[in-house]
Amino acid sequence: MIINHPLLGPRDSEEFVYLGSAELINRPDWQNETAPEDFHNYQYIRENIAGENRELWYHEQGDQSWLVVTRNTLTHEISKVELATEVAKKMGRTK
Amino acid sequence: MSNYNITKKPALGGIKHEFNDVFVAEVTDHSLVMMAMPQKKIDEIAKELNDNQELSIPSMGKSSKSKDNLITLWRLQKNQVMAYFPYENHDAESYISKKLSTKAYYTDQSDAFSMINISGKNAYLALERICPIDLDTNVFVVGSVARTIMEHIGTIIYKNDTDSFILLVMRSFSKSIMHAIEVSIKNTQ
Amino acid sequence: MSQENRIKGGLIDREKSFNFTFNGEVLQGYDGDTLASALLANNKHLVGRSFKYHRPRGILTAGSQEPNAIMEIGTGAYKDPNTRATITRLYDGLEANSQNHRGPLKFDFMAINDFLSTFLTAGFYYKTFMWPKSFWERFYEPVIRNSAGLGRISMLEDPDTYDKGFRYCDILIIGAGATGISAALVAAESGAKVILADEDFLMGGRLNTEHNEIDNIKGNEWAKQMIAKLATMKNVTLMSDTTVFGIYDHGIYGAIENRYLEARNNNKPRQVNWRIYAKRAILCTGATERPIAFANNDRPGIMLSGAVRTYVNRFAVAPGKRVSIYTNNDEGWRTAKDLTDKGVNVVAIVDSRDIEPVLPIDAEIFVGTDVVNTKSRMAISAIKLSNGKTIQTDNLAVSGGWNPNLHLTCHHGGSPIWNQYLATFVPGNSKTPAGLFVAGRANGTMDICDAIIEGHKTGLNVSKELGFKDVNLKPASTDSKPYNITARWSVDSGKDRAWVDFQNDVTVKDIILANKEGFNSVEHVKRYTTLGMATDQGKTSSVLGVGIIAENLSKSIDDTGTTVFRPPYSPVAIGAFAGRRRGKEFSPTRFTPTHSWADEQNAIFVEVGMWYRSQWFPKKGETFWRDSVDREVIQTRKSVGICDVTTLGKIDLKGEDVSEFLNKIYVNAFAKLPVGKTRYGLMLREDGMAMDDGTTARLSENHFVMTTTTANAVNVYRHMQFCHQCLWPDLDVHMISVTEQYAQYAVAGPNSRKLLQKVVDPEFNISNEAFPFMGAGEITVCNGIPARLFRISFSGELAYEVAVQTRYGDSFMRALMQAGEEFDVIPYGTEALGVMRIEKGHAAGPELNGQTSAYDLGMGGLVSGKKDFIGYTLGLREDLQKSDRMQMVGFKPVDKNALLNKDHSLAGAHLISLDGSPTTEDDEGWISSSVYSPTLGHYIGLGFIKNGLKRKGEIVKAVDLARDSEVEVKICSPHFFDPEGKRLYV
Repeated sequence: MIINHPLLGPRDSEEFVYLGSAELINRPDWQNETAPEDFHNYQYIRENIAGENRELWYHEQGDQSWLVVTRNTLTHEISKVELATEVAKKMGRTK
Repeated sequence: MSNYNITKKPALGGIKHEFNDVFVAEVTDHSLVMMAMPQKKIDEIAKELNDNQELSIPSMGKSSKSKDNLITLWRLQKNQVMAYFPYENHDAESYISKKLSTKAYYTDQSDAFSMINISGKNAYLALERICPIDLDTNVFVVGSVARTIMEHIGTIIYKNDTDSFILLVMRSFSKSIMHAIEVSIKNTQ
Repeated sequence: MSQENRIKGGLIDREKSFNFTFNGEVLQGYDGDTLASALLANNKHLVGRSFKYHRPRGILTAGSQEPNAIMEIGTGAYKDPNTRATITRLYDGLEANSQNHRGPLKFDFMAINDFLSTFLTAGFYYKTFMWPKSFWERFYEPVIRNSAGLGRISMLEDPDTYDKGFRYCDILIIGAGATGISAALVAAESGAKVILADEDFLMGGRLNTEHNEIDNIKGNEWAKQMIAKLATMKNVTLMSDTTVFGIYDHGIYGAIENRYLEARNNNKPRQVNWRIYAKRAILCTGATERPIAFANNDRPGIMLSGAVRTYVNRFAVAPGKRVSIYTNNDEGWRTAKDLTDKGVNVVAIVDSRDIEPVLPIDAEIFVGTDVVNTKSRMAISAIKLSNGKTIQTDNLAVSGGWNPNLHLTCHHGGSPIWNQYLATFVPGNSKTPAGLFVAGRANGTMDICDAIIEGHKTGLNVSKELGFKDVNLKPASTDSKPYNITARWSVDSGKDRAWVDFQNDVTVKDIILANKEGFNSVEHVKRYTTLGMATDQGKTSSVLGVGIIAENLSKSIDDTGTTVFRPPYSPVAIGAFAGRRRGKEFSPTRFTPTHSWADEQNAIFVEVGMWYRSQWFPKKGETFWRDSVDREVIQTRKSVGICDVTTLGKIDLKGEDVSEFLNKIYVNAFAKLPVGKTRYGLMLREDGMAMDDGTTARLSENHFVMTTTTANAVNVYRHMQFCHQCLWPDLDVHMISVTEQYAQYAVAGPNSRKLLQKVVDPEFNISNEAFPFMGAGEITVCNGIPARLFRISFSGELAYEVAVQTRYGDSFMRALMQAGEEFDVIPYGTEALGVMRIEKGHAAGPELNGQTSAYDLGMGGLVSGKKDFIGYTLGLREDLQKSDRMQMVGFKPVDKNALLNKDHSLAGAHLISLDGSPTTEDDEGWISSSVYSPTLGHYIGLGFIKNGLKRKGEIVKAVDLARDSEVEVKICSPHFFDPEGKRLYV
């Protein structure tokens, strides 16, 4: 597989490490009343997507950036690659 | 005064080899310092680099040189730039930080890596066996730099000149990468 | 007579004659021959035995699709079984042996199977060896195993080496025949970076085997000139003898380059496994001919018609003296013409179609006629026709039509589609690999004139699409050679067998039987009969099989469909995938800065991940590992010891928000850690389980340095990058690994300070008052060398860790040892380190097993309730708080002498109450770490037991069924030695 890194261009997937769904960016607030439930869902509940899935990949043997890769699990087609930091900021994550 | 004096030792003992037309040599006269750039201060840092050394922050995968040609910056990460410069003392961090920007964070990496120069017209043939990066002369032009993996070893490759590359690996891997390079040369000659 | 079948012409070098052996007989051939062509030149038609019936077999094809002529090449460790003679380039001294027979090739004892064939039909094994059940292991399986398989491997280590490599191009052209060369010429001219690969050692494809005029010169000569032209172009890489075996995602192609001729003499890799990154690829792999199924169509001397042309034209070998031809398409007639042009006697042409002769040939012509049977077991002597005639012949050239080599178009799940005019499958449109184009015969463009134009156009269009310049180049000109065919799959064979899959001995009858028994899907028929499952993967048999199924079930071929093609296209040696990664080169090795010094001390090394660490340092007279380890522990606790801990992960953290960041990843508070102090930290995963532990020191307001365990260094760094980039992206935190920047040594023992005072420069006061327990700071040693000093202790002694730049690592260790002479300093290894940490009750790898929470480890008190951190919320889950969880405690034997005369510890034993029995029901826990404590004089252990923290003083059994051991142990605090920690503070 080749991942088209937004800063570095196409790089072999051998340089990357896979983590899982990009939903992991969406870490719940510990002070919410529903925090136990929220964290349970965050940690364990995943859609098993047949089609476009947003995944976290880490460019360990590269620039060490975390990426959000939109990949079709049926065809392996990669339609979008974003810096996870930017995705996280757009989702309102700060400090 | 301490009664004990200690001496430095290069990772590969300053090795130098010649395999027909391919040359392999440990680089021992340069230092490496990582410069981390806080997001908010990038503009200020860029200005200081320009004012002090006429240095620019290079684009990703590329390098830039100071006006005296001595300091090379490698852009390996979005917010970190590696400075590569001729210097052999153990205070490279304070030496270089004074020359660059006051707003950045510096971390000496000279000992973290061992540096091996591979050069010669057929050097790329040997590298083709271990390097997954496209080294085509039109793609990986002189001054290009990339961090990748060779033989399971995280490696930085920098093209310092026509037909000449510098490979950097974590120091503990020195012997393994040297072996990989030698096998590659042997297999392609 | 040597090479009695050799005729004039051919693309062989008659100046270079080679000797080779076949089953021990010395024969001659020429450079440019394949083993198969050289065997035929020497009139060796019988070359092997079939898999199941042990039928005598001859050479069927002239390429990688060969099902019959598979041999053992080489002897001793070099022996390579199941090698196709048709693609093995002849070299001097080649040793070939036929395989799959007991006794000589001509009198194979296993040929009895052929006469038992009535019983050995499809599904024979499934039906026969079911009963009695107990016979399977004792009788059936050993017998079947003994007769199964084709060639035999040497059972010795492969002496050849293999390599791999990476190549990039704009356009990869697979196949260097007329089509591929045409595509390459225009693509190269456009400026695109081109790789042209071909599985043959001689590029040119069928231009080398046919009579064509291209641009008014001989086809093979044109190919040679064009290849020579391409070779001079800087943007072209030619890779002959290279098989592109698979297409992977996003334009990655796997290719095996054969280099065995150069390899043997120069100790070079035999094969190179290339990973080719191509923006586009053009598949120009041509087509493969298929046989027709008629009775006894597998005799030696029966060949495919295209192969006959190859042997006659390229290798200058006459396949027989009275050749006959059986065809359902025009190409059979071309075989006849090429043979008669070379003066080879053609006795008959049999065409299943009722047509006018395609070419005027001086032979008996039969149209609308089939071959229905053949004669003579060891070599064909006659054919019987459907009109009742018998014709004496010693070679039958068969053509059932051509199948495009479209395998690679299916590697991403695509299915080929049926073309009834060509009576074969052509590449489909859906699920074909992105960026792959097909041209020429591989695309069903059968006429060479059209194929050249298609290759040219495809090359041009693909180059233009990639943005390369338009090229004003005309496609090469040649005469049109129309291809007409009417499908003919099988001929009624009565009681006799007609072969479909030659290598796996699958006949028409087997397919019909499978259909009768309900296996109608082509995939089921394949698995039930093993059609197409041999080493040739059905290259000659699979389409034929589909045709027969369709005919038998009266279905259309569209409805019947085909089986799936997967990589590799043709067999690849496992060694080529392993490449260099054999033995010690399976993974790289990492050496610590003290490695050469430790080697001088005769250290015993242990592999910890990729690291080589000193395990212990034997002294003269010490013969048993415990002698050394016990001494190292005792001496460290008595005076001082030094251990290289460079392998611990070290991460420099800089920025305004580091303390806040540490608060988020550690269970305990770090925000208020003062400058000059270090603190123990425990990191959890989000699910509340312990992930790693270590210490973090604050060297200045915005500068921290963290240590991780050796094993988790990479994971922790990755986790921290995740936390920063994905969870808290606005924190001003900069991480950089300094694991290898510093050589770090633990100096432990009551005399450690005294020792260090001799090397630390005098301006740095490291007295107990000035530099107390958990102090940290930047100092200099040995006259101005910068260092970092941490007063931390894993051993439980007064101890420090001191770090210098790695360049000084070797020298500094020597200085420390020299300075320590007056204290009888000793180096200690990982074993003594482990003993001392267990004596102190520190959890390590065996305890941080991914299932233990902070509470389970007895570190519940460390967990802060005032802040959010990774693992906080899920760590509070009810079940994780229950008192009957497995909790970490210490264990010591009731009888202090227990195990002293044994060679094992308590590690791995399970904990059972005194009245319990060693069963899963009564299992209450286990011992995770156990050593002999030289300090205490008996074995000790750390382990987990239900509700352990509240059961101290209770006695249980530690049962180890594997070692047949049962020891009564007392539950105790894990802090066996100096539980108050007084020794740390002196």
